Amino acid sequence: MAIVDSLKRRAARVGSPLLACFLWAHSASAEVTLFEKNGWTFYTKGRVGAFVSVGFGDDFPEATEPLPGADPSMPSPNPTHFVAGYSGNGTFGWQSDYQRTTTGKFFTTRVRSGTITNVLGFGLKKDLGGGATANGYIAIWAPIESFGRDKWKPIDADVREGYVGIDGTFGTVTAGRMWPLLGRTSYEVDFLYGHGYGVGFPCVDAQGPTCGQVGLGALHPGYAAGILYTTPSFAGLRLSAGVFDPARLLSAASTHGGVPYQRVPFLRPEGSLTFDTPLGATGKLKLGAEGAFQPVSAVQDEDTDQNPATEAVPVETSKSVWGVSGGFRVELGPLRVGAAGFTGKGTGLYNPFVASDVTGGPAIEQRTDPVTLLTTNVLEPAHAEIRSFSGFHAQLAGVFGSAEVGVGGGIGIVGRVPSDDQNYNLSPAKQQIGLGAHFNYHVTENVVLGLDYMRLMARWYGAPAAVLVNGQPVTNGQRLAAEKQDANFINAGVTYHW
Amino acid sequence: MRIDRNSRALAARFGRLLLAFGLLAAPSARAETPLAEVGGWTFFTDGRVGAFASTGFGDGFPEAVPPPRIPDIDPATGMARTDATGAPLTTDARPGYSIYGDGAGWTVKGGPLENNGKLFTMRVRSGFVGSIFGFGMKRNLTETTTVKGYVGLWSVVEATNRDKRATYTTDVRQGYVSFDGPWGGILAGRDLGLYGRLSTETDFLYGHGYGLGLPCMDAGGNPTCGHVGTGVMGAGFGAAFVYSTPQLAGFQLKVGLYDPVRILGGWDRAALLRPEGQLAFEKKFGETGFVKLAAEGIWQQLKLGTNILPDELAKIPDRETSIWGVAGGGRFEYGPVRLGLSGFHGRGLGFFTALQNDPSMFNLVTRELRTFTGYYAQGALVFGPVQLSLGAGTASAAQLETDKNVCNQTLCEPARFSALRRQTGLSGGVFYTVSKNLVIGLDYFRFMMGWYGARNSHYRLNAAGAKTAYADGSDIIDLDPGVIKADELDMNYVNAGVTFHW
Repeated sequence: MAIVDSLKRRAARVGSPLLACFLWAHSASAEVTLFEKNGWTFYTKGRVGAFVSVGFGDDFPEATEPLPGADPSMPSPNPTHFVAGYSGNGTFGWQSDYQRTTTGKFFTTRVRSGTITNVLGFGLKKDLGGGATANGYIAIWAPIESFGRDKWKPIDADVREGYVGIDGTFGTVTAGRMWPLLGRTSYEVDFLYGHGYGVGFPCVDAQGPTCGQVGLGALHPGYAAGILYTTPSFAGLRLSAGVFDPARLLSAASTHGGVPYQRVPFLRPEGSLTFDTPLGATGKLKLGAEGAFQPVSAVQDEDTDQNPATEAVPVETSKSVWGVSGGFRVELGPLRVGAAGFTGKGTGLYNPFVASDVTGGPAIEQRTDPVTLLTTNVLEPAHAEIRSFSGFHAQLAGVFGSAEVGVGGGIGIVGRVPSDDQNYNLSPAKQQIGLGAHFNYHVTENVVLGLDYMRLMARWYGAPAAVLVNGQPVTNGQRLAAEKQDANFINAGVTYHW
Repeated sequence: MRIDRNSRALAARFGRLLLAFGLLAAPSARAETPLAEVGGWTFFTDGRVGAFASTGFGDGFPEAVPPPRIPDIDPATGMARTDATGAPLTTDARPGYSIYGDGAGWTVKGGPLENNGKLFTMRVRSGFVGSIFGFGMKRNLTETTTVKGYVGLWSVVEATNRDKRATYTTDVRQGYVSFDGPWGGILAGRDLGLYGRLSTETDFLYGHGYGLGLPCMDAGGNPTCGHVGTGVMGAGFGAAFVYSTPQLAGFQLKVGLYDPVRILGGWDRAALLRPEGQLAFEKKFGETGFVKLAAEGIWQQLKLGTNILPDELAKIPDRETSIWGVAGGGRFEYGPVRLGLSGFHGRGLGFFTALQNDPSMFNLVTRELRTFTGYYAQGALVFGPVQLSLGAGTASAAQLETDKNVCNQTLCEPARFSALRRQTGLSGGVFYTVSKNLVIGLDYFRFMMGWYGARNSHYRLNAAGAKTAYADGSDIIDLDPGVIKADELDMNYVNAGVTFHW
């Protein structure tokens, strides 16, 4: 255990998020030294596993019916709408991969990877002298299930991690591809006390890794190239600050949602402050808070004078995205409790700053017709408003020898933009709730059997109701019936890690 | 237009088949090389790298016979239509047809490699098994039970489509945890399937383990096929939970539940896990004798997706079907002699591997699954470091009634489509084991394809000689006896290269 604890401390110092994650997940999840020669240490880390995953419930909802026309026996002439999240999984709601029944339900079974796919990691450390150590690490991730249930799709190796860390008395500098900071505490709570050895919410039916509680209140930091500095621990307090490769916020912007902001010239600063302290002989308390900010813009040719005779001119529309997250986790005897939340603009519910149709909605702008001089409100996707997102989740687990039993729940909330009250083209996303439970059994230090359940409950606001007046849709202040989706996932499998 | 649509659909599906061919290959040589043993862990590697010069020559893809022309009579007037100069116009006497595989990469129809209906190609490429980097971690769970985690990274040496700039992707074909003890074994994760394993194993061991055989895809980017597709049913790779019993008097049963597979464009709903199984018997006799017999099975339920347009749906008789297959055979070793025989039969299997996702599996209009049968014989003689191999195999697809006799207002595939009938392969090879880890190989493969041919047909004409039509305006087609042309394609491949494995 002393070795393991040492490794844990080292992982924290190194600031290697996944390493830390694995180490805290379970004592056995440490790197295995393979060779030591001439001051070099070659090590490996990894895991392989498989789960049977059964899903059933509502498939992604069809848009509710528009207001009836004058003749109810005829198809309604009034406008139909899109349901937010239509562009794909990992945005909002859940879409089965072609498994929809004629009644809008689904029943699926798969053999798939869990929240962490198979991982093959190799690292090389070198003592630099003066108490400093260099650590180069590369990890290859790959799921076991074929993309889209297509047996012949290759399984692409995803090199999610590849970084060098310089660790010394000055702290740690990490450069390369790694976990960013925003959302770390949130995901750490889910990984350690929820779905580290499970599946949870299989957010993308076609292929994993799965999401656990992510998207349902938990935020996953994702992976990005960056340069990160972490201070040494001062009485358990540690500050991390880094800059990360900017992420453009681009998804097809239309009146159905989406954002056009792909100009991201500046690196994205992220920071975190954590406090970590033992509680008694076996207890532990960790607090964490993180933040990130990134300016985004779009340069598009626009008809600024509303005169088709003149040439469009390039116009830059500037916005910014940001997020804050934080939480705590406590270990006392057999008890594990963690809770975390996040809020921000443009973060999405899953990975910060990954754009989709849910990320924004069209702006509402007033336009004056140069001929009639009539002023009207128009929906302008080119200047899309970015939505705010919030989430909260809590995990509670009890560890009794080799067995761990836990429950968890969370909610991810999507903010509204001004056009939502008038945009009859879209039923905006409201919230998705996830309630789960798990049972893990550690057969040995390195082999874990897992059984978990997750219930997804996604809700939409409903599109503004509109009727055709003189051939033009006009909203009437009401909303169409709101869409909803309830689905269930039961997962059981095994993980072998080293 | 119909031909164009069919061609595009086929070409698109062949994009998937292109991937398929590469994914059938046999297991890599399973010689685990321990790299470190520390703290109860054994870290090992296995793998191989190799390259072959491959020369192919033979027929280009067969051309469809264009329809004869007849005078174009206006049905309204009964008069011949004329162009602006007053010259009479003509029209097709029957519909055009497409040939299965039209546009496929391995034939390069109309492509730069085809010259006067012949092909000659040279490539440097990977063989039957690509380049593999495999790593594993083993340790004892108990005194008698071990646990092993293994990840295998596969790649090839040739650039896809001869595009030198193409990015090489790594295909993580294998990634599993396995437990082995006196009670048997459990494997959870991605590995070689059970159905087709014996014939794949036979091809690997006695045929093309260190060779190339049939390249399958000229475009490259994937390992080649050896004898797979010409009698060998490739096992493919998939995610599964597999239990293997201990060997009892030489018998071993393996049963697995596999991640279900969609038949893209045909049967999109696959809700239930796919069971596969193998019952094998192994026995050694004498000092050098060995016999292995095996029988295998596969089944998967399939349902239509809900994304089918009503017009298409009306032509599909069933909403639910299943793929099934049985396979079996044996291999025999005594002294220098190696002999393997195998066969397979089943519905919806495909020529190359079970659930191979290509249009040979089903009628594109009615979605009915075709039945496939294959036989394969592979012999070898081993004299010290030298192995001489000879193999032959054939796979065939049975025609559906809608492939050959049904022609009505809603479908007339017999007149519009020439389905693939048979793929036959003859092979020979010489392999020289320079050292335990280095093998030089020279092999030859003759690949013979045969099609059923589109049915003879004609547009029904009225008394004035004008085409007649159904109420919806579509032309009435009558089938005639016989086929237009039962196309054939013969190709030869000579391959030579080297494999280093560990």
